[in-house]
Amino acid sequence: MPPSQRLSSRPRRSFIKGAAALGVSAGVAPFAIGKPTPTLRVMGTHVTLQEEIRQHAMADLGINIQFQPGGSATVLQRASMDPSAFDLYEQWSNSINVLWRSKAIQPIEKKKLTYWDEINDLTKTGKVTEAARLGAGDAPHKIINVQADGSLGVEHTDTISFLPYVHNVDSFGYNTSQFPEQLKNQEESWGWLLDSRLSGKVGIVNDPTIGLFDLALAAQAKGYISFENIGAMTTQELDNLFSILIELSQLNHFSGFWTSVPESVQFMKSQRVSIESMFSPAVSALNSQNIPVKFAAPKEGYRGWHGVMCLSSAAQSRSKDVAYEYMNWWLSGWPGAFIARQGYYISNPERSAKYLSQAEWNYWYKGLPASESLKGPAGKVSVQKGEQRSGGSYEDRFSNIAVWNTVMPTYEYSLQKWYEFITS
Amino acid sequence: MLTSIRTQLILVLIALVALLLVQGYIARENQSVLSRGMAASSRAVVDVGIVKELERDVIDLQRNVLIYKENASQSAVTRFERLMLSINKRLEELADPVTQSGEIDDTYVLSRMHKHLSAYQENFRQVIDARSRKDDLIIDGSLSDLLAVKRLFDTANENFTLPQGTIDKLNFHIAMAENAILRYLMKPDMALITQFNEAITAIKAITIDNQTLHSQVNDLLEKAEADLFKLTQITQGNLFLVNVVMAGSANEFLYLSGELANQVTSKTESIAHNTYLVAQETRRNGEIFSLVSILLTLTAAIFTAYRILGPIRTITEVFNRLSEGQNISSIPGNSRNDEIGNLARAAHVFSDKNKQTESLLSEARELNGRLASLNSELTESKIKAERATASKSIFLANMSHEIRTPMNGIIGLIELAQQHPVPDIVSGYLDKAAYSSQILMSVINDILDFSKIEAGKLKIEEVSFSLHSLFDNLIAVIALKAKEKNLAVRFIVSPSIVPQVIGDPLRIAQIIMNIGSNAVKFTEQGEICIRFNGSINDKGNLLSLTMIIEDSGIGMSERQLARIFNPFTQADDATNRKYGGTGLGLTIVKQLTDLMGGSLSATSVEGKGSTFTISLPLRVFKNQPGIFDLTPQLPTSSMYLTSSPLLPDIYQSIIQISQSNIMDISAAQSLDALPKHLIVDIPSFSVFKENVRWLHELAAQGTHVGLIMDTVGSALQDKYNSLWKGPLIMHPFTPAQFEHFMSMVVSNETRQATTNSADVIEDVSLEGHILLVEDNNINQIVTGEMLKMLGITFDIAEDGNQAVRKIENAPHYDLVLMDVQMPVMDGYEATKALRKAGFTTLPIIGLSANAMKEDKQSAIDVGMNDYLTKPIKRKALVDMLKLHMKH
Repeated sequence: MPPSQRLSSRPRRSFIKGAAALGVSAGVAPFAIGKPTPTLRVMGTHVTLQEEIRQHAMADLGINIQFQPGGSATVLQRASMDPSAFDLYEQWSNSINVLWRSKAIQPIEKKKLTYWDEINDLTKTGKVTEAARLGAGDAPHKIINVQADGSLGVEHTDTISFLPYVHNVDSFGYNTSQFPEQLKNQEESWGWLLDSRLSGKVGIVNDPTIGLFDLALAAQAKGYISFENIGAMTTQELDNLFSILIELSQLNHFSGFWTSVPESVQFMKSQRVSIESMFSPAVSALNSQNIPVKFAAPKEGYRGWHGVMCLSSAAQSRSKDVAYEYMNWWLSGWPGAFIARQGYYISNPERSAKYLSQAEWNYWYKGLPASESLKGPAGKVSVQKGEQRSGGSYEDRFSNIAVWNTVMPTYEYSLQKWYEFITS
Repeated sequence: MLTSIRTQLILVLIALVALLLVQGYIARENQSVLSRGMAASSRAVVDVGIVKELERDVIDLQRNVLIYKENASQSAVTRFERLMLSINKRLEELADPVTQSGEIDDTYVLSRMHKHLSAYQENFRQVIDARSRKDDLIIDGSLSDLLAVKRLFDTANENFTLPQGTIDKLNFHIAMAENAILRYLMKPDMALITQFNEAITAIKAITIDNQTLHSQVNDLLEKAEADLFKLTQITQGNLFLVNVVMAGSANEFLYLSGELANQVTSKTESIAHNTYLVAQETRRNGEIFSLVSILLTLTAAIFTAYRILGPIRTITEVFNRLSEGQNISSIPGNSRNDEIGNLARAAHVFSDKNKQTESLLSEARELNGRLASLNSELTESKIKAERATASKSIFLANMSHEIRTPMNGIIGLIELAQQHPVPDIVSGYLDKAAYSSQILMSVINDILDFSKIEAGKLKIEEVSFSLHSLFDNLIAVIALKAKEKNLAVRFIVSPSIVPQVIGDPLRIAQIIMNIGSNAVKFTEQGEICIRFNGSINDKGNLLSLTMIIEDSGIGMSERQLARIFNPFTQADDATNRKYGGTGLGLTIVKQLTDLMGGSLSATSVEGKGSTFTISLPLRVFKNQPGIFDLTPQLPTSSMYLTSSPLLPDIYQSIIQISQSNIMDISAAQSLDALPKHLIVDIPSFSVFKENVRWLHELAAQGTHVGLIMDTVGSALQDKYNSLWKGPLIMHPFTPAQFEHFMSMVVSNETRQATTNSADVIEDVSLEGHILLVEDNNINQIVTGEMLKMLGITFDIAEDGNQAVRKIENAPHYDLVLMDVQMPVMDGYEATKALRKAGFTTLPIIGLSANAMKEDKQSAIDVGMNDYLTKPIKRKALVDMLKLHMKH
């Protein structure tokens, strides 16, 4: 299920602008005479359906691109029910099972992917480095390969269920100016989310596939509970976990459950919370507003997520070709560099390196202090000189995944318990 | 500027008004703050209420969602929609900028609430949608699919019996699958799906010989799997929506509404607090301003009292005292720069002025006193002057009397002496004495005239008189005097003059005589020309007589000319010494001319002579003949023999001598024939001697010859007269003389031997006895001698009283000669007494040295019959006696 719904309102505005631009470009499209300019319909969330990307892609590919952004649940429901409504679907790895089982998407042929070989081992072996730990739950390499029996598994075949592209690790952020001194000196830990010293100042993302793992990691770090497999909690484990959480909730430990990135920014900005589940863009946004929020690199490891780009089962011939063009474009370098500036990683980072300055590369991928002020996608300085990403380099971060965003077998039950928890 | 009290007062007033305004403004602000606070508070109460209602509604929403989730109740949906409407309405109410008590933060909260709410609504719709699809799937989904599979097997079993084990297995697995579905529906769990899938796989694993059946079953199983997948998907989605998304939204909404309530409350509190603070501050400010106002007002009052009113009162007192005339030693506020200072300085000035006024007043009083004394002096002087004038008049009258009386005596005695044979030398002395007496009398008369004119007592007579007599007298006097200096005199009268005029002949004569005498007096050689011109007005009743006297004398300078008409002034002192005279002559002439309404002017060239022009308006009788109208005219052929005509052109034309008939005498002698009438000019005795024989011959031949001669002395005149007996005329001559001359020429008469009758004393003998009333002995002797010589006897009375007694005692007098000025009783009184006493028929002739005209009138008034002016002339006495004495 989606790691972030309604990620940002800015891209929506950009989209509207872009839609107008679309009309213009549709009229002057430099496509072959007699052959209508093909239109690629992309369904997904705001995380990747950004107007700059659309414009850039249209210019590069000479096609029309239609973005259909929406809330995670909504788009997932629509996509799984009606594959003809889209050509490409962009979301998160935790939605792939639903799409695959509903046969809304078709396998993607590796041979048609220009840069397949450049894609790193995260989705191939699950380890970006030799020493990397495999995160619990639905690690991308476990759900990408289309097995011979039609299921998804680790065995490599000629086809894959999604194009690996955008991915990142998440943790929690905390406001250093509002933080207890004792904790500051300690090593960052998920356990802080349940620390009594922060009671009433904790925010959690309102999504059981994400927030539940934050809380589970926290409870485990605190030693309240231990899981057999944190990526596949049993009903009993859920009951135990939620009994603790509900207890805390009734003690008003949790200040709120946010449902969008702007809301998480608002939580922190208004000092409603001192610590909360966070996504990378929210941290950037707060930092650019001079709010000293630190994106933690918890000793227990990160919660990872992986973006998926899926081909509609209804996409055939021309629209399928265009869809492949777009998929290949995404890995052609510029888009990776573009999202790198938002803190996201691309699956073939080397190709994007040339679109980044050395300083950018060093900061975003190498985890080195910024040798100069770095600008965000909007052209505004988002990273001051000397700043350093928490958690180190790309390899460091992805070698330390505690759990991936996952739809567990006890998903329905967790939903029930989540409801009890947040309304308690 | 600021030193002016006006400015200071204006400033104080402005400050007071500004304070009032500020106070008013503060009060207003206070009120508006309070009312704003009140409004905000009441609004906040309402808002809090709304927020609470919102919370209630949201909880109700959640309740209805749960109800729907539980039993798909349509009423829950309706209720949900209504709640939604109500919530939206309340949110709008809160968002309404007019009623909204909050600010930007609120709108952010509200927008987030809106977002959550609309998401909630959207999600609920999805829930409803999913529920209906789920219901459909329950009816037409996997369960019916499984039922269909079961029926297929039942049908197959009927057609061709299937082994009982297969049937049992099938039923078991179908039952397992159905169980999994039903349990899933009850409580969604992935394990149940696995159970279902295992059951389906087991069913599929059942070998069925019948291929058709097999495929049919497989299809149905596939469908059942797909339907269940859909069901799980919908269920999961629904669960996610309801349990996560909607619950989160509702949670957040409730949190936000709590926040909103907190914000509203805290805002209300802060508003209330602010209101309280503002009100307090305003009150404090108001109090401060009030205090400041009071202080300022007090200051203004004190300022006004001490700086303005006090000084003004002081100054007013000062002014009061000043107005009462008190002396002020010092004035307060003198050194101030404002209006008070000005007032003080004004008071100072006032005080100074007061002092000045006082001193001025005293000066004025002094002056007034002096003026009064001067006035009285003046009055006195006036009275004195008047008295002096009166005295002068009396003096003059007395003088006239007192001088005339002895003069009468002198003149009378001289006259008497001249009538006796005396040695030549004595006769010469007597003549000179007579002449001196005449001069003295004329001087006295001049002074008297002047005095009379000055005194306004001179009256101009209006009587009819003949210019002929005026001319005769004028010629007689002027010619006599001119002859003595061998001056030629021309007397030319314009023919436009009429002979009879109305006026004062004596005064006119006096004017002409005076100027003529002057001309003679100031001319040593040459000639004097006297012209009479005149023009009669259109009515014919007024003659403008112009007399021009021209001489060739010493003349005058402009300066001298300007002074000659002033009294006691001659041209200059030297003139006075040389020519003598009183200097009154021309003054009298001027005054007389003025009195007659005429004009007098003079022009003169120094060393060449002077010209005096007198113009007098004279009334005339109409239709008179011209003065030359009776002058005979000569026949036109008559000749005038002259080299330089002595006869004026105008006279030539009167007698009809034309220019062609004028020729030189020698030329005339050479003529063969001469006309019957000849006028011959004899400019000198030599010419006469040369031509007298020829002239006599002509006369003898019957030619009428008239001679015209220039002015000559009396000796030469006698010679002419003896050598030429024919018509002869000498300059100056009057129109009457010219007429006579021309008559002789025309008639060719010879002149009779004329005797100078004036020189022969008429031997008159009268009879009678008269009373001579005279107090002066000399006059008694003179008058008495005259009377004796006339053969009249007389008695003498010394005064009026004596006269009255004598007459009363011996009333046999034929006439009384009564001097008017006498001691004891004057003549007037005596006359009155006599008339009163019944002597009404007795002629009484007044005698007076007083030449004034009114004296005669006074005499007549008291009853006198006539009046004689002293010195008594023999002739006048004779005439008077002849007139009044009874013979």
